[in-house]
Amino acid sequence: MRTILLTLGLVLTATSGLYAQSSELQGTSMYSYLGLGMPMDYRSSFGSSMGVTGVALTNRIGTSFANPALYSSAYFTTAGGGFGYRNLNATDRTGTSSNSQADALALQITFPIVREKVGFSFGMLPITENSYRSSNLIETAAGTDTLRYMSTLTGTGGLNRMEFGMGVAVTDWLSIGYSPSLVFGTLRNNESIEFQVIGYQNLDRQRILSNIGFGNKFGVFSTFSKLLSTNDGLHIGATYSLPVDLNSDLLERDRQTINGTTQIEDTKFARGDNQLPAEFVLGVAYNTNRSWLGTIEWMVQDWGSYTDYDGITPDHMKSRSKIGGGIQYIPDGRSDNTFFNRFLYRGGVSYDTGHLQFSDTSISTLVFSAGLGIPSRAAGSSIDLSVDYGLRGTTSHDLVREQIFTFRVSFNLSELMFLQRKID
Amino acid sequence: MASSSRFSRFSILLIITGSLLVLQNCENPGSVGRSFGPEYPQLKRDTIPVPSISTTQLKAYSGNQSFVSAGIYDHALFGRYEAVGLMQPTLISRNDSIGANATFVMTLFIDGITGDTTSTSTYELLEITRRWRAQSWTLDSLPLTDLAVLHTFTVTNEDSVKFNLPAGWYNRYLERKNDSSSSRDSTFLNTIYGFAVRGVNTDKIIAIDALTSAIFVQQNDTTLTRRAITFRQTANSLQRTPSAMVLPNDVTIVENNFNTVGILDIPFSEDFIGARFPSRVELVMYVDTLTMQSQLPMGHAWFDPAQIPIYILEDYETNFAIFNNPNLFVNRSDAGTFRSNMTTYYNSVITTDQNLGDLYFLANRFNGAVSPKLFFNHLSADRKPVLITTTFTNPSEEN
Repeated sequence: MRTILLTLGLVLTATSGLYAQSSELQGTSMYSYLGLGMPMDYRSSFGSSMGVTGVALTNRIGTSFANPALYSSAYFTTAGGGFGYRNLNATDRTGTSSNSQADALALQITFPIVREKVGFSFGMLPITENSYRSSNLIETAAGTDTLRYMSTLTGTGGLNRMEFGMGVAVTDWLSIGYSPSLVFGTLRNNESIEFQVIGYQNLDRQRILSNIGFGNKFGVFSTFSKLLSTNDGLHIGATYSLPVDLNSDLLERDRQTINGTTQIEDTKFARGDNQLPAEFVLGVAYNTNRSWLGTIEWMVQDWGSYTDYDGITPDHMKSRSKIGGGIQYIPDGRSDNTFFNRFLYRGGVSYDTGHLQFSDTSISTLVFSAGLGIPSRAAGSSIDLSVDYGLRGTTSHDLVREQIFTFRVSFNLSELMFLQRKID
Repeated sequence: MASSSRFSRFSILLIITGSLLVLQNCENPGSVGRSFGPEYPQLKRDTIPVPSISTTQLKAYSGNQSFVSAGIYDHALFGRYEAVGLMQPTLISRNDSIGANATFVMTLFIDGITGDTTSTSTYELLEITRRWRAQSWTLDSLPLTDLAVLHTFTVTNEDSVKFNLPAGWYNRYLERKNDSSSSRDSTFLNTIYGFAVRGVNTDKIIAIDALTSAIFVQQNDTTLTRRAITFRQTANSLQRTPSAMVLPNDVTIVENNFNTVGILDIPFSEDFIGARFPSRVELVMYVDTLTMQSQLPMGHAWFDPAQIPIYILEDYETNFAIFNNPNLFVNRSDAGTFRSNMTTYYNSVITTDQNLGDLYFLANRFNGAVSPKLFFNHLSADRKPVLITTTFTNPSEEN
């Protein structure tokens, strides 16, 4: 428990404020300016490398927000977290840009109330990201002079979810779960004007949208064994998240440094509503034996009914659908205890139709994933490494094509709570 | 148990490494994605007419200015100017050696001429016979009369004038220099009052540089050091008789002294400017150079520096003599157009939420030279004074 608390403290310290500005998976993208930011599809540490969130993947040694029904299978008290590093290269008809960014991943603690019957979990994860930066040197006529200024647009922040969930094993083959959550976050869009000539005052103009709301997520998980062989198993999981009505405060403000002092003027303050759309995920996993597992998952998010702060559904928003699948291979370490036999090998691919559409062109995303699981010799803990290579968007219709490379390190640290381990 | 501990330590190491990685973000943002991203704020320039320009008369002392002016000039537009300059020399040290046959050469450097540069005008150097103080001298202080003429000289268009001072004067000066009594300084001040320079039938006013002009002591003995007697105080008297010419109502005469001071009536406020944080607020004023040139005969010059000073004065300050230095300067950008960045002033008004005072301007620095100007005022159709504001459009309503 001491290890878990120490780890949790370190992660909280290291990630303090990070959830507010950036998060998992998606790189810094101009697409994130639209709507409530770029949706951040949660993926569990072990599902991540297989292109799925993991609604149908149970794992005794790993935490997962994917399906609250899975909390029922908690055996150890487990803390999960990690870091991601992303590099994004964007191209449109005007040129290219590149961004690198490191983020904190979801942070979660799961513990059993009744071991492998009733489990509880709490933690925090990012759900959308508003992260972009664009600079342009502008020259314009100002009377008889030419005025040059650097205009920089910056987006930071996003929505986060603080979730408390419980899963209950109803029968040997069926579990259900429920996760209420607090959805909150601030999206900041900043316009900065920096003149390249003297005699002009620079200006920062901010648009800050603060949101808060309550979410509800329901999950079901069932597992069937010995279908085709004595060691196989079929696992089916599904979740449904209700739409989240967000109370939103909009603040527009100008900032200027005058005589060394920053002056702030709030030019607009208003209250309104946003709605985070409903989400449904269905997943199936099948393991032929202990070594081989395959999974496939389908997810839909109803962005087509999204309404923004002004109560309008933007033309470019549409419902998205995502399908992903992958496999996992666990070598038989008992027969051949070599270096490579100590790891879990995973691979997968996902295709997302995207929630944005311009001129009948969807901003779709194709991601290839691969990863390694490194289980601890002490039962219950693991480190997972994964890499993604993704392609998003297109350069047609003045749009942007993005190449995304992501590297993640996730950890799961487990201990038997309240019980001294007798065997290591 | 040992392997579990190693695993935990390894995990913590990964977390710390990851934390450092988080701090190492790098970017080459570029401008990709402009077609659907937020719009860049658009630059907006507005021209706001200055509601009115008027003139007033304020008090100021005219001692120890940059120039000592002398002469008479009658201008068809601005009227007749008559200037008399006063200069009192310093008393050099008793230890300074001055040879027996040394001569005292008055050297007047002329920095500018207002008037005819082709004709030759006669000037008189007079010896002042009573005590005067530069600190309390005003332009309308009565010029001294019945003074003894020490020397007469002429000026056409020279950069400087040199002539020997009469022996009678410098012998009295040497007597004071060599005085070893304890009252040496006061005796000097009560006996050597200095000079006045005035024009006699001139058609120009010369601007004598008060700092570089001096009495140079020419030593016949080459072993002795050359000495310069500078002026410890100077002052100007100036009288103006306005022209009978009737001016159009869209122009206003402003002088470079406080006899005719321009007032800019600009109600600096967010409502008037149209933005709380403008990127620039620029004052633009226009001088009617065409009319001024048309009234300047061939060969006549105009003392025409490139800056207009602005004084920010509160009401109570205008009841007293103006000692302030100018708060702002309006720079000439091209012939007849003067521009000044008022952003800092506007910001000060906005951020302090106080009226810092009214804006008074002169045609040129109050420096002793004679340099009035004809400004287009608020009634001008296309050359009225204006504020040009540079702001940015309101944020996009997207997102």
